[in-house]
Amino acid sequence: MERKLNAELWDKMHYLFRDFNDRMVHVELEYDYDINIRALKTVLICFFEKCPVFHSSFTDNHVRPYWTVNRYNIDEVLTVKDIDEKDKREEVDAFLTQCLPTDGELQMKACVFRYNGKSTLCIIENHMCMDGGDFKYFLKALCKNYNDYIANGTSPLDLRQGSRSYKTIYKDLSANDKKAAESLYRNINKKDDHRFPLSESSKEDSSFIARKVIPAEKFVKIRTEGKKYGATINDMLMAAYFYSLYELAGFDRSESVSISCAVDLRRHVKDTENMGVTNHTAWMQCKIPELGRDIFETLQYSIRSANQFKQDKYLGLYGLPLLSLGYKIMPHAASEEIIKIGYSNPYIAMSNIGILEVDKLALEGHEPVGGFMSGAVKYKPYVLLSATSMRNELTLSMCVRGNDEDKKTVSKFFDLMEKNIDVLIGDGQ
Amino acid sequence: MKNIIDYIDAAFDSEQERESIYKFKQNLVAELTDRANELTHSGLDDENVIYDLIVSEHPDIKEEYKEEQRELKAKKRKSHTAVLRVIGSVLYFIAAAVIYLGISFLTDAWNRTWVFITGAVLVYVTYLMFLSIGALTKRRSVFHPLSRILLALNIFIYATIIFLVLTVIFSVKGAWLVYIFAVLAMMTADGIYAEKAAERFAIFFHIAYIVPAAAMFYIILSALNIIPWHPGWIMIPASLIIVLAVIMIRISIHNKDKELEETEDDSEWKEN
Repeated sequence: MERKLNAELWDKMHYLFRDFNDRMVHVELEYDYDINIRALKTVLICFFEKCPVFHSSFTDNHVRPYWTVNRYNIDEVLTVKDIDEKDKREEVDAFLTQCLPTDGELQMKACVFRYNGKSTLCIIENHMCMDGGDFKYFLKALCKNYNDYIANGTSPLDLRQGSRSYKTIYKDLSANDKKAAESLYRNINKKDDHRFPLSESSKEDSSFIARKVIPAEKFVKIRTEGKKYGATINDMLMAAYFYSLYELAGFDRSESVSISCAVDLRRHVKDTENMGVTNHTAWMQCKIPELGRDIFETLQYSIRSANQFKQDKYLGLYGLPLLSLGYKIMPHAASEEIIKIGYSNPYIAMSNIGILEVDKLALEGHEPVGGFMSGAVKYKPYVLLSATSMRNELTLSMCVRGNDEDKKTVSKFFDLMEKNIDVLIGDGQ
Repeated sequence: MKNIIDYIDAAFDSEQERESIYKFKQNLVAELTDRANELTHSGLDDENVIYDLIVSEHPDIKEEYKEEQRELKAKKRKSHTAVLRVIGSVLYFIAAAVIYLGISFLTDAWNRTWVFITGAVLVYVTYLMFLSIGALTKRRSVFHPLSRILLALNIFIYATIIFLVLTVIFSVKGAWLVYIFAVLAMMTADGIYAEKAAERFAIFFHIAYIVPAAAMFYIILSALNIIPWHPGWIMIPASLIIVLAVIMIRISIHNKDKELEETEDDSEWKEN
């Protein structure tokens, strides 16, 4: 008998975002050792069985969309490729920039590239299934289960299962807070027409992932120097982002610009144990009134803006009840149209995915030697800067569907980011 | 497969073999064998993992058995209820027809006794509607507006029955007032339903119904000569005071909740 799963609010919202991005979340982890493919396949099958949304296809039913669970074979999920090390970048990028269709049989695919006794594990998954926060958890669980399976033969079944509903973020709020949060109908994010200076969209555009690695010694300084100004790493990156953006796009110094920053709504949850893997991400719209006289004043503006949000105990919870109501009272096709009118997807955004903990991502004691995670490939004029760190090395990445000119623009943007970070940490002029 | 059979058998070790248990075990073995085949087809070749995965999906087989028994009982009860309803309905209509014909032949007042059979049919319609309201209320809140419409229709039907009885049997002149009462009853019932079904905007319905309810009261009281038409109409604008009072009470409850919440937060802070 066909098994169906309920399409949750965030599944539908990320489906709606198909006009703005390719919905794929990407990860690349490099290991100095040969991954045990049989063990990896076993773990992946168990995880797919524990979380059937990964092998389901999304049906865009006009009244009520749903997931249909499909049968699959692990060889369709995991590909193993023996390659030349010199081709690695090209092969990895070709794998990472593919897009899994929502009505396809699988919503997650993995590939192990093997070369000179080393392996690179790449995974892409549909953002409708889970966000970066849960993807990080998924990867850590994958590595732990893989290790336990190889070491003790323990069956790899230790993956969180539970509700994928957006409502689980209210579960640990006090009764009054919950009541208040469930009444936050207004959308506090305002439309900002400032755009990242990319070229016009064209049919020839193709997806690419641009990366910039900020070395460990600089990343450590970002943290230590930031503390002097009362700034978090996020604030420091945001200030550099703002400053680089004004320089790159040539915005007038007196113009107020905003950058939306992803907020993990799990901050409202004390115990995530019984929550299924899903999306719990919202935007906080950081806004500076003008470009500061120097980057340090811009940093102060960023801190002030972020702190305003952080002081709000309902951070990120605004507008959720309205979205839920919209989907509840109208058929899906109608609610999508109405939500599209009211929802303004940010043109410029940042997602600080955070640390990729090497000890927790180690396979049989082999810690990853490199890697990053990034959000979806955005369609112009939308952009998302993803930031992850590993071994104190910061990787900035931007996934764009564009052309060579856009590649140059993004590369120039990364150079500006590095230059401005240098100034912030006292390494620049 | 032997492992899985052992696992199922072990769950019923302390139970005496009954037909229901035997059937359940037989079905479960078939189901779990299918599941194991499905996992093998997916590419899983470690039998221990297959076993552990299947066991993790069925951690409490005895409870599953009990659940199945409960479901079977509920199903049986449901089909019994359905049969009883059909028999009850047939008996009800036979009884209504017998009483109608009996009264009509005895009194020879056919021009008035038709009200009885009409009323009996309408009461049956309202019974069906009540069943639907119950079923719809249990479903998602998107169906609640439909059950509220049915509730209002029900009240309208009862008003019609009373109106027919008063007009045709007792020849009461002001029987039309029943409909005014009905509107009042509809709003009251809807307000109670909204509250009981925990409708999110229940308070707005309460507020919106106050002025029309006052207007209905005004018409009823004036028509019954309890108050004069003029200046009795003042009670309609005066009802705005009740609206204000309800709003004030609501705000004060909200503020009290907030105060309580702040106190809770403070105490948490001090404890930390």
